[in-house]
Amino acid sequence: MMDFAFRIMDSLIACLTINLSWDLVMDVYWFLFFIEFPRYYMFDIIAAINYGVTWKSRRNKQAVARRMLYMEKPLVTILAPGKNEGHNIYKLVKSLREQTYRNFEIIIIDDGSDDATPQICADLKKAGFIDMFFRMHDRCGKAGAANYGVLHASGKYIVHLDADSSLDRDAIEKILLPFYYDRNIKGVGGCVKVRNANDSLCTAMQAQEYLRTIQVGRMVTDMLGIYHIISGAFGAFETEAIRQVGCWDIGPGLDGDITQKLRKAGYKVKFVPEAICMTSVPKTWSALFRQRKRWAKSLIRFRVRKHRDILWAGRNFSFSNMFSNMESIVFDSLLNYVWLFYVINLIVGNTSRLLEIIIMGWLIRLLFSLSTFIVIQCVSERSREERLLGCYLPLHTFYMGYFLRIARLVGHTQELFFYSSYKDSWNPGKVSMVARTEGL
Amino acid sequence: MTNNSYTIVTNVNRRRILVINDVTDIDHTSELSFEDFDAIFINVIDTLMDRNMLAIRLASPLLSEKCRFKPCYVTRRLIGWLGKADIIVDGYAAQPTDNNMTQGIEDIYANMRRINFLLGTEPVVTHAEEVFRLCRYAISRGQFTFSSQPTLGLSQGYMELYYYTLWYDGQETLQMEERNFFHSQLLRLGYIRQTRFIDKTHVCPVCNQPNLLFFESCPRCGSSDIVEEPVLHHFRCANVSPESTYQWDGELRCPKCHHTLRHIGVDYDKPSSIFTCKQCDNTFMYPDMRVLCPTSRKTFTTDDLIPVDVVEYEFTPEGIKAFANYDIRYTLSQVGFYGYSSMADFLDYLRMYSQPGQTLTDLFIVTRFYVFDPAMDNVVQQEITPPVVQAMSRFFKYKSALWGNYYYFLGHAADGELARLQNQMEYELKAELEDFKQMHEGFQFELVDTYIYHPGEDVEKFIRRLDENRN
Repeated sequence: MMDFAFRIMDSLIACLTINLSWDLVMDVYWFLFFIEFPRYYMFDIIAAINYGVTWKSRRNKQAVARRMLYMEKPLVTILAPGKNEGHNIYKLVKSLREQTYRNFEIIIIDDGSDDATPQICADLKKAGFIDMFFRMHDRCGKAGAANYGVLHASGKYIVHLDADSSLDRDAIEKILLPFYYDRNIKGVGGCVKVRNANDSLCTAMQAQEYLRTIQVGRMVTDMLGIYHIISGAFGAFETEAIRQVGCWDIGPGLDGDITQKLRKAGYKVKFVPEAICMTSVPKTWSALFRQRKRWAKSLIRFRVRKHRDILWAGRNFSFSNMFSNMESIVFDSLLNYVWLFYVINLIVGNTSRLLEIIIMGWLIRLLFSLSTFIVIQCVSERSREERLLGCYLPLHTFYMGYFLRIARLVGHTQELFFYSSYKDSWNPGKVSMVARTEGL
Repeated sequence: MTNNSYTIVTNVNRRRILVINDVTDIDHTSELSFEDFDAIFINVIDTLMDRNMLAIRLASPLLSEKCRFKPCYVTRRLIGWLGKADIIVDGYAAQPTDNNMTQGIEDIYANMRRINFLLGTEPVVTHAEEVFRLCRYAISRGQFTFSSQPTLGLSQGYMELYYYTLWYDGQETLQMEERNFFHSQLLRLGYIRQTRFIDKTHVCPVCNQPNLLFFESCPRCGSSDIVEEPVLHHFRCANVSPESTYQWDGELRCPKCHHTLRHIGVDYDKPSSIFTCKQCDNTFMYPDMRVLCPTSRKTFTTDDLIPVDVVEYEFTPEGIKAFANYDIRYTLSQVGFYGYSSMADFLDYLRMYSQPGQTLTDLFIVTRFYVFDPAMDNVVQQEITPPVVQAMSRFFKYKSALWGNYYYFLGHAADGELARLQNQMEYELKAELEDFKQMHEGFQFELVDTYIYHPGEDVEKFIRRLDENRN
């Protein structure tokens, strides 16, 4: 046993010293160095630097926008559709009552709940905690429920929330500010973080992932002008614009879809890392795997199929829209297949040195992850609380590098070849049937 | 004995039957006494139904002292025409000597004998005594349960026992709290027992009437001018909106994607419905339920209404015995009743409801009149209800007492309505006394003062104020 450990150590040292060569890097870790590092780690660092450099101008811009917001003080409609979310609604309403921006109406749409949600919401309505409550006796799906809410919205802006979300005290105010930066901004995404990070290892890993892919990752896409997903858990839209583009279409992945629709209509979208929303994430690996498969399927269904016209010249064509879609397709889907061949090739070609390569790869990733974690610590508003998540960095490779990739691969493959998103119970069967028949 | 308006006939069982051929005020017919007849047959058929009803009222076993508790039959030609009065007649017959009437009379007397029912005239002066009379009447007819069928025109809609008091729509002797008080007293004495729970009803918080109008209304403006329409969900594009937004040239067309909706369950469904207010254009899913009380003319929410348990009671053997022998009047407290009572009961009522912990939080308004009636001395000697008391008995919502030459009336008022109710009370009572004065020579009256009792005040001090300058 000890001999084996010493042998591995020797191999690693040799790998880092005498065996280290350009050819080795090209041959073994090319995917890591030439695909993952530039796209994710390098841009994360650039985004963090940009965030720091533009801090003062951003603060001034925000101050002007805040003044304009409070001068106009528009009515904001907060929309929370959901099914069987009664136990979360009070938490949400409580956080809304604490908001610094107070001119809003709350509309809750119960999408055919079969638990106590209607009673809870009716009570909250009676107590004046929510302004409107609508109940669908038959389930319509999230898009239908949200659209029904838009129909009754009287606000100038609509803030869409998941019913299991809760917000920082200034979240509504902050998510509204970009509308006053530029009149062409019609959609703004908030930053979603994990509320139940301490529940399990699975939730802790997701908490770390959300920090990286949402708080920092979307800062990068926003900086590059290819921000393409206003999170359904916390997003704000100008009511007129969202009505103009026909509100939400059938899901799953309706948050990415509505963002693409806004972009295609010629509007700008913006990400606000300071507008914080907390949400609950799956606690078990199996539930997480299913969720990620669903997200992966929506990428194929919407970006590859529904919005494929964005990839070539047409009405309202723009390079940024094309790149935003391309980026998503290439990095989230296509390169997953490349990664699969890369891994197979690595296993077949380096069978004797496999353990050594894996450990080495893990070490390199750990270093990269550490750099990203430092970036997160620099940009996060609650860096002190999130510092402990650094303990999970050694597991980052296995979670992001393998688990999520495999989930995505399975999801993409199922959707590409079997159209399995149409069988997903996330949507009501009647809706999926029509969508499948009409190729929506 | 014969007269144009009535005759007395004897049936095969030697029962003397007073046959009334025209409207006759029996109590004021000196030729007739209580002992002269055993039953009544009302044979008045006038084209004016009010005259027929008046004839029944004047010969009612409940209302007439000389006819008290005696079997009362009505000509068959009035079947179906009596309305609410139907309940206080024992049956219908073509002739006073009909077999069914003869048998009915014997059955009633047999029941009275069985329970040792003390038949006779007893003075009915106070309001409480009127209620005892009701119970005695029910027992005399073998009705030992307080029937709990929903009954038109009654508070709570139940309790047929109290139906006997009804004559005109909306006139009911017992108020709800009075009735509850009466039940609790009877329960405490062991005269009645609960047999079953019937229902929980809701009554007006102001006047305790259960006859309420419910209507759905707009939560924003309160208007009931609202319309409901279904909400359509178009599967194809997830558009969900009211049906009217889909109406297009006689067909259903989606306002979002402009596809035609052909088949429910395939293209679309109706997952919900929505109300729209035609007054303020507000749209909402759950209209507010508002309740209008036609009696108090006030509007409430359903939460404001007072829930009332309706239970069925029946007389216990002790209760039947007590009421049959009429030996209850000195054991049952009469404090809780409205209407006319002794001054002692009147003052005890004030003391009882001014105690801390009582649910009654209203103010008391006590109006005091000086009255002088030259006929009063005769009345006291004869132990009958003074005419002025009879005249004032229509104010069944006020508790009243005549004390020497002072007539006291007590009413309740909520804090914000004191002035209005005080004015109303003074106006009503003065108008009635004025009418009485017009009809009775020598009668004089004068409003002495109106006293307001606030919860928490020293009740004995208040009573002393009522007594000031009495002599």
